[in-house]
Amino acid sequence: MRIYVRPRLFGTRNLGVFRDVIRWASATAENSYDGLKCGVEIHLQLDTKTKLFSNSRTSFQATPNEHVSYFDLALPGSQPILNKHAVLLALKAATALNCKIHRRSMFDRKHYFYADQPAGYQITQYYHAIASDGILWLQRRDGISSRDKLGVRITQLQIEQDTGKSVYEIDSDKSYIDFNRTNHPLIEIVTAPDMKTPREAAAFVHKLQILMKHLGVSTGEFQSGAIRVDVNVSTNGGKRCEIKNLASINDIIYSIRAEYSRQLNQVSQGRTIESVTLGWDGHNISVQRDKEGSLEYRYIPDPELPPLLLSEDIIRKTRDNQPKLPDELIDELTAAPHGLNLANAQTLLSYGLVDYYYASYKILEEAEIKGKNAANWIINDILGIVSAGEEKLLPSIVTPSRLTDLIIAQKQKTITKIIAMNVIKYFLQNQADHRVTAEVIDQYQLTAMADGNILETICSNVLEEHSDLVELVVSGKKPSAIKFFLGMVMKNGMGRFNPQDSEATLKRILMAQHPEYANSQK
Amino acid sequence: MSMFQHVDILLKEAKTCLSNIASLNHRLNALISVRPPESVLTRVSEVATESQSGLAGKLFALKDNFCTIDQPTTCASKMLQGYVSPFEATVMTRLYKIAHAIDVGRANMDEFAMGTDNIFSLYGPPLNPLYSTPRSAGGSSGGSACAVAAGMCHFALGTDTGGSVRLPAAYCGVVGFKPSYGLVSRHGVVAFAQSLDTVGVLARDVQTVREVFNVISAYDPLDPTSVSNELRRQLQTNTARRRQASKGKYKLGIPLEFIVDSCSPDITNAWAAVLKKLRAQGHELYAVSMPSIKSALPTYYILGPSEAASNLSRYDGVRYGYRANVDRVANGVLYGVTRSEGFGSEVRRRILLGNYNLSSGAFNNHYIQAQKVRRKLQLNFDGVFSVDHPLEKPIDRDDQPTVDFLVAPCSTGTAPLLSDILSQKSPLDSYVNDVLTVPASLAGIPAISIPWHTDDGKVVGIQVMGQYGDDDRVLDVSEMIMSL
Repeated sequence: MRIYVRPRLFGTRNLGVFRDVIRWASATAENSYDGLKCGVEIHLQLDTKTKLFSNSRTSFQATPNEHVSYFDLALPGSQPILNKHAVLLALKAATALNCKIHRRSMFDRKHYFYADQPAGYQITQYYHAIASDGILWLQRRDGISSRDKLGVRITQLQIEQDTGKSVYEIDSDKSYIDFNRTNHPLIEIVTAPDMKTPREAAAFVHKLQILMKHLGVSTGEFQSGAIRVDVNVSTNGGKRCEIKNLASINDIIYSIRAEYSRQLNQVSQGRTIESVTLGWDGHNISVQRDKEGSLEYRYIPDPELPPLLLSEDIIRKTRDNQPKLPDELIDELTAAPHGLNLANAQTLLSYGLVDYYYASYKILEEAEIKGKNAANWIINDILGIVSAGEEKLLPSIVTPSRLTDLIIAQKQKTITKIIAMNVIKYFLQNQADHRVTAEVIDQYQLTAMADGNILETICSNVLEEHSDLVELVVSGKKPSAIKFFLGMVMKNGMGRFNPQDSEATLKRILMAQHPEYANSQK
Repeated sequence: MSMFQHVDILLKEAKTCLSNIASLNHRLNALISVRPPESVLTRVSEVATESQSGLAGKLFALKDNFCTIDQPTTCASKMLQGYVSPFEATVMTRLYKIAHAIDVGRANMDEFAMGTDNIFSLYGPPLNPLYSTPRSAGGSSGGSACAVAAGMCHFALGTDTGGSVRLPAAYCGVVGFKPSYGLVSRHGVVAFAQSLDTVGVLARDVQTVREVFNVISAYDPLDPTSVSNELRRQLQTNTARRRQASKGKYKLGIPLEFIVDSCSPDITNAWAAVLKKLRAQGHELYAVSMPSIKSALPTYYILGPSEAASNLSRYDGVRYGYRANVDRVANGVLYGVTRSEGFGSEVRRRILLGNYNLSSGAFNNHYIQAQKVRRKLQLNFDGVFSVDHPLEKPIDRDDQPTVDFLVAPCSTGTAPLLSDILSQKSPLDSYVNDVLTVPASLAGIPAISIPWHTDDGKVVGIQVMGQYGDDDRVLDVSEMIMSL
């Protein structure tokens, strides 16, 4: 796989994908896509500590070639030793996708020469995969609009190795190879052409991402390359064309739209559709390889990897230990007593915070506070202040007991919400500090201040410093500027005065000093 | 014997080896690199006093396809010239660190172990030490057999994929043992065809082979094909029980398919002489038939090159090894130049053959069929042995008599003249030499070549084959035959 250096990729928030989806899912009704059929091939990086056939660590954005073993580099005399954890994750995925699990599967070699393919072959499962014949059901809420239910058939699920990365310098004839990704475990999931609109394909991929992240099988992130999607497109029973390497949900939608138009155009011009491999640059479809250029992979069963044998026992255990799946959790979260709206339920799920919410909910209910508060705090407040990836730390660092202590304290007006958020940041930045919430609040004297004199002084000072704005507020030209004063009071008061009291105090002073303002507020 | 006497003997033996190397190697070309004699002798005195191992202070030569960390591992190929591995073969570790044997040098071989006369070597062919005219030492482990026969070491390690230990042993008049597949770790052994590759031992007597085999036959978690400890225990139990039951008398099979037209009278006469003596000793002889052996050679020459073509794909000059000045010529294939310059003619031929077999047009007719024949052949062997294959379900043995071991020749002739080999028109001429050795390789069973001295002064390799896992008893029988 060719990767060009695009640094902007790495700065983005790693869960941006879930924001994309909200954009496309709420878009207006789809155009007509008569005769369109799409299937997808998805490569998912398994979330294992070590690689598929070696003990070197898996990594993302590590120093190039820091995590490579002799086998990863295909040194003479090195041999593959299968990572059992990768097999267990593949088994989890296959189970959740309702696949037929094959108790005996095999590994094969797929040959092609490329600089980032050190052995000259990739170890995959071509002849006998670990699983096949599964199905994933989509519902209307998953983003399909034209039908209530869609079952996407999974043709095959196989385990294979990832390749390295070739990195090309712009304006240079040099290229570099990073073998860190070499031999990272992948599963490839191939579907039947069951999706009839671009949005159905997108909905399937998105649902799969959420499912695999939820199961701990893969992070499912496009940004890190943990998921890579190829889509095959055919119209009116014609030949299939494959669009390679789609890197976002939007790319899936727009590239299928473009390919659908291209195929219709071809037909309307009297040409037949040839089976080709296509590329998508974010705007345009282009033919990468025609059929004559199709590659001869010279598959051979790997001569030294023994067959992968699964016991009935491990297959049954995996099925029995399968956690509640996203569909069921969404049903639970949107029903009483939680009654969350769909978007909030999906947010909790996509950030992997459902259990966190449930635990917090329980503590709050026992304290006779509405448990749903925890959902509002997590979704509306906390996710807004944590940095990328930090939400993973919430359950272990800002434990449900710490979180609920903060919620209870705020409800009892012991602290303000601003202080609560600062305490959460403090917890995340000082992971070695295991004290309970109350001790931290005490130490830094963060309790809410109820001293009316101090608040009065702060408010007066703010209004004096910004007399020009006062004029705008009292004259009614810009009444919303009061929020600015409020912000300044929060800041000067170190967040320890609650906003309602602060606003009331500001207004009281203004009304006392400016009768016309008092009148306008009546 | 006091410890000092023991040290003295070992030092004396080591000095003899070193002096043989010094005087003979420049002509025989058995070893392609040699350890400095002083460091060998220092190490001998060190380990001789400290180690309890029977192999302590014994010298061995290592075929150039075993990875070691202090010397290049080149597989006698330009492709790997100067390549030093960052890790060591498990067998090297076991011999050097556990048994305290000392590697005295790297042995010549056919490039990437492909060949039967060791003529396809970057370093040129070794010469057979038994003859004054330049004759083949056999291949591909020709350097290993030559070094043992010339007294340059006590034993040598080779690899046997289709006969590469047994054939040179037969030509050079030494013992060459290919154990059951999977008993000896291949970790750190450069792969030719992993489903067949087996580490083998060459020595002048069976006792030394046994000692070495006992050290290197061990479960290795680093080798995915290494036989488990559980199965090893089962094999040991089997051996003990069978030894007790046989009381030193065996039922021996004469495999009819090993009677081939190309066998020279030297060979058939020697075979007959051995069988005659065995019968005189009270062993029972039976003619047995394994029809699939007729297809063994083509099967081997489909499977071996197919796996080799795949394994050798890694040599592209990017990470290590030889790299040509250009990555490709105009419209050429990536790495084409590197690979055609780095590999010798025989390796290129087998890669082409293998890639053809694996191409989608030929795969079902060649590779898949060959796998089926291989399976049939394995069942043929199971049908003639009186004991079951420990990894297979027990089978019904019908009317055919069953035997403990098979006794057959190891080569169709004695060591040929190098000049004759070099004037051969077709590479197939040398491929047919493998006809007697590839059946055991395809079946994964233990097989050994033991030297038999004929009345007219020639040395012929006699091959003994046993059921999978019956290695210890194959060595028992070999010892017995050598003492006839």
